[in-house]
Amino acid sequence: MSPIPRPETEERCQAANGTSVAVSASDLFRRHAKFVAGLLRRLGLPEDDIDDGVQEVFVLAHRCGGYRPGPARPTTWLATIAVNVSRNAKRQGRRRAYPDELKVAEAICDGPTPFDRVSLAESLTRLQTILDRLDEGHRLVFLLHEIHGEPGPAIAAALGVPIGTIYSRLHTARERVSAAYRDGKAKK
Amino acid sequence: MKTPDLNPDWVVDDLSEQGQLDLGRLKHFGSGSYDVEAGLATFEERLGDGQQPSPGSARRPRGFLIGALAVCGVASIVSFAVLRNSESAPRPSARAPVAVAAEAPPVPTTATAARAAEVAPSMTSVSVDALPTVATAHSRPMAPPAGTTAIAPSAGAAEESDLVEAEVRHASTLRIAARTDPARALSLAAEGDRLYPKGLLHAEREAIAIEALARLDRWSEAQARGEAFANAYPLHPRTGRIRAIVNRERPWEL
Repeated sequence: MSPIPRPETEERCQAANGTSVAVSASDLFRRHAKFVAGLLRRLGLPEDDIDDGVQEVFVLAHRCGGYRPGPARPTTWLATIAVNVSRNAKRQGRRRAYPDELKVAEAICDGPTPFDRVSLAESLTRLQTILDRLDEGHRLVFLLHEIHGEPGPAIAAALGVPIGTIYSRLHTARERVSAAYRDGKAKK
Repeated sequence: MKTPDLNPDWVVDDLSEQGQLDLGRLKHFGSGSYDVEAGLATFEERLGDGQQPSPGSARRPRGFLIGALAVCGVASIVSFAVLRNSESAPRPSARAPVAVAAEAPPVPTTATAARAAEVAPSMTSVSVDALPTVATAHSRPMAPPAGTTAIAPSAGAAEESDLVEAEVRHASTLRIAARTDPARALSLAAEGDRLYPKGLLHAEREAIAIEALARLDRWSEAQARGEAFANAYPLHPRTGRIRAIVNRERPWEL
């Protein structure tokens, strides 16, 4: 197996990026800032910290020398930085606030009636409640694969773990999500 | 789903209808709302501040932080020394005339202040007693300023205004009690509902009561009232906490 990129530290970034041509920082931001914001939100970063978190992710990515094409996709590579940023935020005491999903829903939903927005907010809250119960590794794989459609090999390359581990985490996460809905744990 | 290497039908097989709906919505709205252009402007500004893309540049802030801390430390010591010196200097007594260097003269609201303003020579010093007083809640009703027409409130409106003020005061007491004494908060919330049946702050009192019930380990009551609350007031700022309580979480411990 070729060297696995693990951009959690500068050295790993350097090793992972090799000599390929880097993507411009602004381009990377423009293309993937929304993805990073959504991922940070679902990783449990409080809503008020999302803007700062996105900035932190891209500044770290920039300091690491930027993304260079490799086995990890830009999204999965940024996801590994995002998970560290989210972890640091939690370690620093910025614990998860109860998100105002309604506010999020109002911003993203173009539904014609308030009922649509409330209904979307309820969906997001219900699923987030379940995601919050998954541990970080399972949650990240589930989000990347199920929500953002990232392929297993790209996730494995970004996280620096064997592909089998990704499938195993995905399988477990799916089971837990299904079980939570079956048992009614996902009630608002 | 982009990967054919995993079972793409697990959702259909295993996930409930509600789960499929929620997952579909999160997929659709997964990236949420984020102002990319505003974020990009901030990001480019930060990059313009000298954060060049070099693998070793991440170490720089540590040195910068140490330097900044050292400067802050020296500044604190110097300011402390200055403060000590200024404290040891003789100070005027509290009742002594205080020099006021205001550009605009203070508006005299009492006869004393008016007299003091007449006597005072071009704002050099004014006695503390002559300073204007600040109107408090107990000093109402205030006379309208000269040149304005006061709108006389009707008796009904005044009564209503008093009632609202009393309710707000009651809610304030309730909020203080809720922090330390859930049992008292519970009884105060019930009292509030009794005293102000058509009050504006019923939702606030109900939310506090629900949290108090949970803190008293009366979870079933808290959950039942919490569900009703979340349905009745989905937009209320406390609804997030109430939903957490319905899920038997303890938001007050966070």
